[in-house]
Amino acid sequence: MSGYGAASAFVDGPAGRRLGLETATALTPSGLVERPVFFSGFPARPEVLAAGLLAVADVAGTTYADLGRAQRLANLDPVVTASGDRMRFESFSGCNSVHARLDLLPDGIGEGAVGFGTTNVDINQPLRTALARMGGSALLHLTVGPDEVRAGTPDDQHVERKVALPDRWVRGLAEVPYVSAAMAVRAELTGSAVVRLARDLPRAGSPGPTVHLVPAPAGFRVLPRPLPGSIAVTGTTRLRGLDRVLRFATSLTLHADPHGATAWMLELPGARLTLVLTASPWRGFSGEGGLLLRLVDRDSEVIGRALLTDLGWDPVVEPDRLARAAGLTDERVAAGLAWLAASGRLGHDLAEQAWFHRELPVDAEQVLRRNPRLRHANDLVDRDGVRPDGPGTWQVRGTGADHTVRAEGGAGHVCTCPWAESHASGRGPCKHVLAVLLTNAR
Amino acid sequence: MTGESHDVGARLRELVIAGELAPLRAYLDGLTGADLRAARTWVAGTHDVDEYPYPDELGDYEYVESSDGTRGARVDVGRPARERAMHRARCLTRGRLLGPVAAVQAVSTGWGGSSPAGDDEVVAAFVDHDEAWVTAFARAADAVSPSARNAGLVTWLLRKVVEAHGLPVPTGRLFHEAWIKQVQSQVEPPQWSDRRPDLDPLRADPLLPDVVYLLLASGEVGVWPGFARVLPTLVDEGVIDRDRTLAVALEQLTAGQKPSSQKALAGVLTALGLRAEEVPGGLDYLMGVLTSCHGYAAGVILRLALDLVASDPDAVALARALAPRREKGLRRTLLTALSPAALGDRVSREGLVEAIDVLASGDEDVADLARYDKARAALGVAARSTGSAQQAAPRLGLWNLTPPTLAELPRVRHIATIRDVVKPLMRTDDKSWEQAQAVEMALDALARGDLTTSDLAGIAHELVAEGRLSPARSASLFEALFLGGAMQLVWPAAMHTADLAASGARVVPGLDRLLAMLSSYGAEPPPPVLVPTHVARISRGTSKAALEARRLLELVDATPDGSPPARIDLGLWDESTEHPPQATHYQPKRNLDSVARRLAATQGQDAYVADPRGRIRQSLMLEELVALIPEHGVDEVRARGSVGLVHRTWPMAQAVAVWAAGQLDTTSYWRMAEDAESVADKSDEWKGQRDAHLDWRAVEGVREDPPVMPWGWRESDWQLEFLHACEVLLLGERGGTPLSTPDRVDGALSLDALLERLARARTVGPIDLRLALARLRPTTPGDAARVPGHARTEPALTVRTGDHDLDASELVRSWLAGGGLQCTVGLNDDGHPVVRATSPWSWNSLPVLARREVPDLPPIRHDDIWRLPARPDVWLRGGFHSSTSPESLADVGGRLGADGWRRLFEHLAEVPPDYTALDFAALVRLQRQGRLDPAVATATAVAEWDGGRTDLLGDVVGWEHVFLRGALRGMWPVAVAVVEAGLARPERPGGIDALRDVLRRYAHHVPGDTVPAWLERNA
Repeated sequence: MSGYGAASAFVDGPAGRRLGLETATALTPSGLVERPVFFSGFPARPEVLAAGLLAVADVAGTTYADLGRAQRLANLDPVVTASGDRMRFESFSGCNSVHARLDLLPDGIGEGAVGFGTTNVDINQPLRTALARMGGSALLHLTVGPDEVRAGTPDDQHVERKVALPDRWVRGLAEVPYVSAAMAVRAELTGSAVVRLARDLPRAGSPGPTVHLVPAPAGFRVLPRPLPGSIAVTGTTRLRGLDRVLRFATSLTLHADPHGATAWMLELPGARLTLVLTASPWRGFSGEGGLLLRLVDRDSEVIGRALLTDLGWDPVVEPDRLARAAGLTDERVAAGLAWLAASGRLGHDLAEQAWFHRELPVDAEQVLRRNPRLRHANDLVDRDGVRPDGPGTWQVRGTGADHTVRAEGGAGHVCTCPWAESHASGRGPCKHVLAVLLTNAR
Repeated sequence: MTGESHDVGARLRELVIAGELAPLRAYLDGLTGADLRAARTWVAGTHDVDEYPYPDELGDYEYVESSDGTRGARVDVGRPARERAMHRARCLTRGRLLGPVAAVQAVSTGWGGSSPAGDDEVVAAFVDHDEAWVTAFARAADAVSPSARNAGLVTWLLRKVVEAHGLPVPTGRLFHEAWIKQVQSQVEPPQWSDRRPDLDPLRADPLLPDVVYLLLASGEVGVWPGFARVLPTLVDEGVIDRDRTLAVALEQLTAGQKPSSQKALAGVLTALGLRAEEVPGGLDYLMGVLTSCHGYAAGVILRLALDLVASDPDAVALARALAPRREKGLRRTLLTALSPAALGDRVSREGLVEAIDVLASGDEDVADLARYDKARAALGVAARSTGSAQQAAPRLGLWNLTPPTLAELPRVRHIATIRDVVKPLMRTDDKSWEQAQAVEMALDALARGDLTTSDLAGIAHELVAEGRLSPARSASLFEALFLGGAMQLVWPAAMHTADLAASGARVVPGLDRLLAMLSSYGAEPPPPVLVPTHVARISRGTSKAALEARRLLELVDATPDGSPPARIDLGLWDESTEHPPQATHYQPKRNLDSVARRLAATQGQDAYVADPRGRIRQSLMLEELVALIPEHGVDEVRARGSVGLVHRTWPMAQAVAVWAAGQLDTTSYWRMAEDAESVADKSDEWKGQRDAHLDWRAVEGVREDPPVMPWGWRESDWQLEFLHACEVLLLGERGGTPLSTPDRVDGALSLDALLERLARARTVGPIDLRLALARLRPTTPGDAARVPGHARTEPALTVRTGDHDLDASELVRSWLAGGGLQCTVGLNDDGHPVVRATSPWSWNSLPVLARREVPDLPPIRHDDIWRLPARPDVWLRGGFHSSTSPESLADVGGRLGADGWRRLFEHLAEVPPDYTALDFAALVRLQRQGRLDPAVATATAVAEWDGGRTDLLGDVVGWEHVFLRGALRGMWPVAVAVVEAGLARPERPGGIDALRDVLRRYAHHVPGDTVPAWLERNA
């Protein structure tokens, strides 16, 4: 657990308007660094940056679906990734069913250089109020990191607030890119169509109702029941995170994956805000799904680790360049990148349709390997719970009965256990399939 | 003092159980060294006293009498008080001996109920600690979850500790929620009172003023909606600081508090008179809040923001911030301000126009578009909305979809028909069915043909008659049905509903919503889409509904004077027929191989009896069992005739099971009749030992001494039916046959059949004889002379000693001569109809039934069909509403007389209540059976009018419902005759004109030859 040297703050004084976002311990190309400075300069549109940061903080402070056991972690501090030419601020809702990311793009950074690395930034309530008061009429000096000017102010109140990146965020930060990479663009709206859709989406209750969108000339029609080809949006109240920045939005792109997760990407002047929603509002991003398969793929792991040194916090990872540099085929590079994403080392940029490098200042891989299903699979392997039963078939010890796992070509592995029957679609492999894969990899 | 933990623990347990605080405290104060450590260990643990010690150790049991005077259950009468004392003592031990965090943990998760108010000893255990302990305690207590088992007690102790030590005011949700609950009840007058809030308790609170500021930040202020009202006084008195309060409220509006709290925060701004120029951050801040806050707060913020608009960019930015919000009211407020009269001195004409355009972008509400154009016109700009609103939505391909059906489920009889399930979804202010579930049921019914276009249109007619049609809610229902694949069936009904809503002198509110919905699906039906007459007519107006009607006409390319769609045939004239129950025989059967299966089949899976005729079939099969004995012998009939009945719970099956088990003889019969008790009255201990619960059977109970019968034994009719079956079986073993078996499906018995059986009988059973008399169809005293011979009752079944019998033939004669069983309908003291039944020979005069009163009128109407059949007027004592019962009025044979018609008139005079409906299905069946006699109905009405009754017809809404629910063919001649009789009277009775108007409206639904000339003349 690391801490901030001071509280983030906004100062409007004789030296002008200064916004200081305090950083905690960061992982950078040169390793762990205490409170690094990722940026010092002038954003092109301060009011857009302020609204975007508030949107990310709003999501972090909201629990849309109270699962009864959700830990109350309101106002968790967003994670910032500095990638040399842009900065990305990310958060999860209290229920982990919404991921928010504000990308401050190169044209949104008016003056100043962006460093490299990932850490938390302090967003406290006074700062939220200050951000809400921020207009766009005057220059704003932004520091992401300790602010030298403000630190020298005699009456500055020194705060040693601790910050911890919770495991559920780590798991979510690994799963969201994996889910995003499987998404396809379903619609692009511009101008008044964005406003109209925002108006039409019901926001009653939490997590809100399910609606179904069908294309219409002026955007989308919002329907209460599904039709063939319609896009289901579950828990529409979860889109409240967009409200702060809608007034600045120039377009909205809707992405969806085959299992019902959606991503809502708003283009803003010099920035981009993306909300990724789980298929079910009652399930958060929990580090499951297909990424478990990738995590146990030893071949991909070897390639991924080899590629790691060439990533260098790239804002856009170019597989071609990596393939040339490492002397690997495109397929092997793709497999290695998928493993890196599954281990929490890559993010995914829907607009660029590309990965970006983002390593968390914690051992994300270890957190992900603590996944209960993966642990149980390892236990099964350690206790000889998997035995071959003919070509492409295994018997795996279950609770009270053995289950049969079969390799079924393109469909991967299929298990006969009740869990797989109930959840096979969208929640990844069961522990028995994982155990078979682990056994085969040994 | 031994230092042995078990000694210390045992002593502590004793003291806690005793609940005396002073000796407990003295003991704790005296602990040192090892004893103190042992005590701490014991207190930190979990023990039986945390819930309740073993009852037999401490219980103070008494027996409580049952209602019938017998000894009932054991009850620990002192338990509540002793529990309270124990928990207080346990709480004290935790405060005295545990560390602060452990104490919070133990108290919050332990048992203990609410706060032990006024208990200084307990409080002292938590307060009498050093600063470090209480500070840690306060921190831990402030973090307790509101859902903790004992959160209330923790909060109460927290406050005591904070007050006693002057600690900072806690910030947690739990504390502030509790603070509000405590203070609000003291400050706020009851809602019905006009008294002003009493602020003295608030002023006296030592936690002021910080508690106010922290409350605003806690997120719980919304729990007290009126909190803002008390603030101005506190500010005026200098108790709290206005600027700081406002600063906190403004800051918290960016904190994402829940809607109720945001509303309260906005209320604070209003109550303290915040001026726009006082808002730090000015318009930028307000716009930021406006984009993210909830509705009520947005209204307050918008008004402040409007005061700060100073330039064209400000106006446009404000419009841009507001445009994505759903609330039309906010947009209209801003639109009103975007006028020369309001913001014209600060914003240029071009700026106002641009702001209006921003606000209007994406808006498709025709009424709002008209408002935008009006606002533009005020600025000298031409209308821009024309055309945009008329843009047709793309075709979704709904027309050719088909609705899905639900999986087949066991047939469960609902009180509500599918029509009554759908109806609330089209009705104003009704939430009786959750829409999603009802829509699925409606789609299923539409797919199966159980719900039709005519039904939906009929519902709309009913609601118009009731004055409760909600076009807006109907729109929501119809849209869901369109999308569910039923558009072909529902579109005509939706158009019909819109036409009905437009047909009155004033359109029904909400019609614009329905028309807008229809417009949005206007591309789906194949052309030409015809718009109904009244909708086309109103399109010439300027109301919202008119604008929407016009848009619909334009979208579907219909002209206002075009041909209207074909009228929906409501299918009200039902020509089908049905045999009346009093005219239908059962064919007697004699089949030993199938009788048990048929007997079991009369029992529904989930119901006492699956259908009303099943009850009658049981009587026939009881007779069949007895009739099979001479041919097959008792043993074989016992063995083969009762297979599968062991688990049946109804009385006849229980009796057959006892008989089949060889446990029924005259001795056990009289033991059951005179000595038995119900398992329901046995103690829990007795039931526990025998696993005797709801499925306890007579075949098990007869072995007990005294016999213990099933739960139903408590009901007199259950006993009667059981003992009757036993009697018939015992009589059958002696070669006797029952007299009472019904000869028609309505459960009644003709006198001819009874006399014929009596003439053949060697001996008869007394219960069976009495039952046969109760089931008789109407007789005359003169029939007494027809009773043959001198049949006598079986002595062994007449009295327990078997040395006495009754002259059965003479009893029948006396019964007939005395007029038989007479039922009269009267009114009770409250003016409600009651039926009084009297007979020449009471049930209780039979020794076998002497133990419990068996009235002539069954307490439950369900039993009429078994022992008081063919009396529809008596049946109607239970009203005419739909119920889960399988029987209906149509299953009750006999003539509907004046009393019955009076009850029907009374029901039809009222609009059906929301959650029950009249049993229209029964009326439809009576119509099919030809049992609705206009002459009797009219005579009844005339008699009521002659008696001075003026409200017999009420508002006639019920009559219209009857027509719409399929009973038009039967009730039309009744209504015509009643209106004719009413019009012929010198003073026209109430409701006659209204009923005549209804007849006029429905005249085109009936055959021409049934429409009287006077009605045609007035049409």
